Amino acid sequence: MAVTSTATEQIKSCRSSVISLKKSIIPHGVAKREMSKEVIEERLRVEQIRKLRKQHSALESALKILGKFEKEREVLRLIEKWRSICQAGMSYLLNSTLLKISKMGGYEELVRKEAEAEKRKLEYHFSDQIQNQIDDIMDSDEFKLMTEYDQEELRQQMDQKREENDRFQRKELEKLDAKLKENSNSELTMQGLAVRLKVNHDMIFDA
Amino acid sequence: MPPATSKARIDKQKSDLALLQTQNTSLLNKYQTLTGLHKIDKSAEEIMKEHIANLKKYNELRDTGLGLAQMIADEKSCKLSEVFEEMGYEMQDRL
Repeated sequence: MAVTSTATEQIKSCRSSVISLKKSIIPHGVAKREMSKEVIEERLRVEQIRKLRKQHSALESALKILGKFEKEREVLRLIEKWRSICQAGMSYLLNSTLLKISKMGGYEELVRKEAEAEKRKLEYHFSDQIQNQIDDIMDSDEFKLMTEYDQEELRQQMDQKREENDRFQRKELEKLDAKLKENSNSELTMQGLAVRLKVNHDMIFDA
Repeated sequence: MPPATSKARIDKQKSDLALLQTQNTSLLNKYQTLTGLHKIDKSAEEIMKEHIANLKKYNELRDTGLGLAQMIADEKSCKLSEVFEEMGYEMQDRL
């Protein structure tokens, strides 16, 4: 019987681990004769006790679970209940979102608007904010008190920073354009909705 | 270490070992009976892991389900309980 064989295998594995332990217990480079028989036997016993305690704890926990197996079946039933609720909820939300998207001119239009909003955010962050910071530094009393040489050096540093930011901004804008291109002529899918809602699509739809 | 203490320690180890072996044999017998009864062919560790994984999955699905139902309730401007009623499910679980 398969069930009995699992438990018998556990006993066998416990016995064989003791045998293999005998072989591995003496560290490399240490001659067998250097270790007294008692020390080896004690190490073996300690290891055997450790393994038996581990097995004892696992068996006790498993028995607790098996003792209330109806509860385990109930959890499985509830998993299916909540999976169905999630699927129904996602279907409802996909339909209502598709309706809203259709009213606003289609999915491509939604993605375009989102990309534009993202671009505006980037422009504000990288251009306006950084330019304001630079202007503040230039107008500060500390800057005016600097030598011409130091002022020039600081200007160069700020120009460098501005260029770096411009490069980063260009890259981000390119990414947004690519996203826009990728989504042209496409529809909002269940997976896409799951990403937008930050829910685990596979957990809901793959049993 | 004095020999008396060493002997006492060894005796204690031996009795612990014997006790654990007896206990584990008894536990294994119970385990075989119960796994046979429920037609389960899994090790004790596998049963524990599956139990934990199922509880985790249940919690995640329940949280997601409640979140989605709340979104629908907000959209429809109704109560959460009404969404569940419409879906034909009870909001509460009896474990």
